[in-house]
Amino acid sequence: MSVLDVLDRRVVDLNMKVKVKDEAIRHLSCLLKEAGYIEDVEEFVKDIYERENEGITGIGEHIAIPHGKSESVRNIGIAVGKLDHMIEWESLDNKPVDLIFLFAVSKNQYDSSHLKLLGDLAGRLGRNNTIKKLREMNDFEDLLEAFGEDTQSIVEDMEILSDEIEIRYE
Amino acid sequence: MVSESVIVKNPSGLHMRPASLMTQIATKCKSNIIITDGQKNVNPKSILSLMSAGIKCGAEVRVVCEGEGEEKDLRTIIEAIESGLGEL
Repeated sequence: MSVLDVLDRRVVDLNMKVKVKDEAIRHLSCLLKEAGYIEDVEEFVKDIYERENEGITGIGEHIAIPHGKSESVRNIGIAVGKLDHMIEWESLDNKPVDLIFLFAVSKNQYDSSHLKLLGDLAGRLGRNNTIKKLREMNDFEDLLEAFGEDTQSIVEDMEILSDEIEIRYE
Repeated sequence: MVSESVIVKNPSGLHMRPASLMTQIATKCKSNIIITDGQKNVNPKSILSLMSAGIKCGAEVRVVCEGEGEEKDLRTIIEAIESGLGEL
């Protein structure tokens, strides 16, 4: 399962008009409810905050990947929100955030598909130009295009990520 | 350059939560660091690199440090992984 299989235009808002983190989380959760991914917004939001308390979801470069692992989730989904301004969010690089990927994951502890999905998202975000394209996107098609390309190039770019450091070991 | 192997104990592997702790620890290290599982090389100073590598529970990884403070950094990283990166 890749990010491209899960992205759904019904839960993407590239023009999010919210002022703070809480509003962003609730707004995206409402989109997920309307599209049938979750049953109850309040319960889902509570589970998102439970995860927020466990650790930072702002991964740097003004991007956050909050997730709600919840009984309220019917289907795995990713809501995407883009703002035209920055909002405060606890981040690894202490920078504020203007791009949010909110994962909706079921509470089934044996289902690790969301970890693979997070890994897939991370791999695509790490590729050259993806973040640049995401910053410039205007519509859902641009979003798909930013994440597009086959997985082989992800593997190649992984090598580039480690190439900065020339270490050879026996 | 110094290196040492360690086994990943986290039940769900190096997923986002332990990975972000790893990144926070690694970025404070001065030396250059690579974590490798024999197939892929991961830069632990990059959360994206860690998360997309999908290192699983039970995986044996080698931590390689090169540069100023490499011995101290190696100990820091190895101990962090051995102690379960906040999950155990």
